[in-house]
Amino acid sequence: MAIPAPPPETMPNETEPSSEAGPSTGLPKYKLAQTLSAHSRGVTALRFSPDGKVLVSAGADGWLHFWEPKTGEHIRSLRCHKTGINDISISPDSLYIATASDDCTSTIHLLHPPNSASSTPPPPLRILSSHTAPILSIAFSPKSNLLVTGSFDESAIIWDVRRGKALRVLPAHADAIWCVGWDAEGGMVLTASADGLIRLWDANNGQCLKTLDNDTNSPVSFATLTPSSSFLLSSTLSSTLRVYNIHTSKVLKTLRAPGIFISERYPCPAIVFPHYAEEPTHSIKREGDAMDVDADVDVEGIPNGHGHVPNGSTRRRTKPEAWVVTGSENGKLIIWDLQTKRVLQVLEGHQSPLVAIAVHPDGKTIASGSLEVEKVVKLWRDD
Amino acid sequence: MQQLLNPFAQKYPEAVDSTLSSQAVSVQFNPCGPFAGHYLAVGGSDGLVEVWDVETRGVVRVLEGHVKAVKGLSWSKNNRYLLTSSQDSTAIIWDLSILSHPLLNPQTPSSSSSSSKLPSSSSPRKCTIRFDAPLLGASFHPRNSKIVLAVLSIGEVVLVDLRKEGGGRWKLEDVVEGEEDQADAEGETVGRKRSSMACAVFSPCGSRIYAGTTGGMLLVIDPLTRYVLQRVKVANASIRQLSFDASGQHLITSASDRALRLLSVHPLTSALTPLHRFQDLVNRTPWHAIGFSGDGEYVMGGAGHKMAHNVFVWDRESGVLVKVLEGPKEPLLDCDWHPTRPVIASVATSGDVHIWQTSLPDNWAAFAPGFEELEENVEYDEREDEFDIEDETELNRRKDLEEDLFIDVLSPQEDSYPRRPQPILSLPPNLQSTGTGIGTGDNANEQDRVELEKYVRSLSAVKDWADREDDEDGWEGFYLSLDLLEEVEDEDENGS
Repeated sequence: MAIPAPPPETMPNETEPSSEAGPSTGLPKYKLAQTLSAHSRGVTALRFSPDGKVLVSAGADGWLHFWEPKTGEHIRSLRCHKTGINDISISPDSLYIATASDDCTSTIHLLHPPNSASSTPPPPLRILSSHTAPILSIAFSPKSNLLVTGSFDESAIIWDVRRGKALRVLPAHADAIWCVGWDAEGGMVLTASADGLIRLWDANNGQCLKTLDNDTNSPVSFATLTPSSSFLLSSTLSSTLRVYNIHTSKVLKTLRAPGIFISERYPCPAIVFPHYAEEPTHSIKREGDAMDVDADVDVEGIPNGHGHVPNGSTRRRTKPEAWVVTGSENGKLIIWDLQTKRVLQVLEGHQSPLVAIAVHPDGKTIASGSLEVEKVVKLWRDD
Repeated sequence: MQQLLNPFAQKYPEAVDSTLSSQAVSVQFNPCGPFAGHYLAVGGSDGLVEVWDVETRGVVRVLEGHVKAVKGLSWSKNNRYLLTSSQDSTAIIWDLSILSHPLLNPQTPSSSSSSSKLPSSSSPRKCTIRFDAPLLGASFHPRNSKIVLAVLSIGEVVLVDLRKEGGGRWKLEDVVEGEEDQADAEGETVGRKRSSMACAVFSPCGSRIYAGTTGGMLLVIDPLTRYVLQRVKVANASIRQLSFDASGQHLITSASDRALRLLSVHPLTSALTPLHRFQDLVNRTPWHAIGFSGDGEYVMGGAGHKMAHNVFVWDRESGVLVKVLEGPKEPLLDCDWHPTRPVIASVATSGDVHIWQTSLPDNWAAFAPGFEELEENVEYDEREDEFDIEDETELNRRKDLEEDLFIDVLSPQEDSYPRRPQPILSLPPNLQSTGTGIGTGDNANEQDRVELEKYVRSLSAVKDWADREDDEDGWEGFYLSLDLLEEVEDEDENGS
């Protein structure tokens, strides 16, 4: 669920730092903007559409609610399952939304249906039924033509979206599959399971390409490939996030925050997203070596492989920082700097465990959803 | 992902894996972009064009417009447009981003850039180009879909520029710059004009047009000035087909003497060097289709047997025949090699499209974490500290230190998918500087350099000309959105 880096925006006001905040420290300053409540049971999944126009929340009550991401206004709602929805995915072209439910089926609906006066909800465009146990995770391929689902029945299925039929069954794991995903080119599927393993598969022929484990054998609650597709971020039920190099199977980063980040029972997604420093930053301290690499300017900039102190004009084009956000069982949201493994911000406000989280494509809004008893969605904004 | 695939896997296909039933006479994979080879365009004998999704073996677009067989297919730079050319004397440019249902407006970078598009134009047909004669083929300029090269069955090659500014239509002639005035005076020129052009393609970087004549000549033409730059006698028979590899460094020709000739192409001067000659000496097979593997390592020839369906595969480097793929007993019309995988699509006279693949052995090692398959036994040397018991805090500290390196998780991998090659726009560094020692002393060297600079200027002029006027096909990640409002009929369930 990593968000691809949008092109760096030009910052017109970079010479005038906002007066009250002083010079920007490059740290996140997300504040609670809205609290949205509509679900009668826990909020289990959240997604912003890739075009950024709508936020969808899914609940254990079987409902989908559609929200305006900027104002938090309720747009519409849709009951698509009688049982709880565990996960949703919006196609990359923002045309369709797919659900994964406890009733062992997945449905595909239009994301923006026509306004109709009739009170009966529109029937799903496709119903995917082959799993024999609740479906826990669902993901559209980057081309929107395939879906992969992971189920409690220990298998993952790749679906042909157009026909609505199973294309390939991956006899994947020895325990429930909690998370599925794709690489950026749609050639590779990942499955993460409670058996403690993450597997990578060739989507074209269903061959297993790689298996990653973790040293404590903890159940893997979430995994995603980063935009560069060489790295994988995983979350295990031992309150630990790890970044792997998928080619060497080596763990490159281990993110922990004892006492703050707790994930022992409930799986919560972790999302990598880019943050563009708005102006020359001085306060971010790094090791000399890391600085060297990090200061490399982007494609369009002047290549200064070893420039230690880039001036302001090139600094704007520097590579974005990679931030990671995830939710904790104590209701806190934690934002890390992936490189330094430092906790940048902790957002407090929720009273119940978090299992749903989403980042708007512009990186300015984070949505989080909590389980019972609270069962609300909160929007956090950094303007 | 490529790195995770078995590096020792066979690089060419083995057997027919599945068959798509259609009315095909021609096939073409989309050659470039992150989704290279994910789509297969199929031209039908009845004029219907289909775009198949290779992963799902399903039809994602049906394009109705032609009334006779569609022999030529060409994908635009980033796959948004498809050019089809037919024996009904028309070529049509299709915009594959458009879905016929008004409710479906895919939100992609390409659609936001073309917001000026009228909502009423729900037909994917963008443009129809009419010609005087049936078309043998037509192709987009690799940099701009508003420039089209068409080959007519009457031996004419026409360059069509659809841009508002400087657009037009030109019939390509075998004329060298400055020669046209004295053309009548020389008997040789007249003689040459009698042989007409039988095929023509753009080089993959788009800088040159390569045309084959009925007299066995290979012409290199500047698309901007439309003058012939080079003329090379390749065969003593009509050249029927030309095909480049993805890098543009190799060219294969198919002539009516039933021989395939492999030539290397100099990227700057476009000088041609013959490398190999392939022939089926036993059966004297004519060739219906030629091409290269995605990596350019193999040369493919689709044999035109009357009673068999064979695809020959040669090693490009050595020129050795490595495989003859033998299919069902029906003649072959066309074939194309997948841009990234060892997959070939071939068309039989029945209209069926066969997909050839390798059968993969199960890779059980991939199921076990930290397990590595070895080619042969090795003696394991234990590390000095392998079984040492270490202090846990020390271990954690060292691990922490190890993790203190920068990893670029956000930039997408640049070279992970095929792209169109770029024309050479500067001299190689060893020729660039003027005053280095020999420069002044060696006159011949200096002359060479001036000559090469002329080539560079000409290549960059062609590039500037081609890049003028954007064709709204700038998004590399373009893909075809699905129309799920349309019911899928059961009859097209014909996977494997």
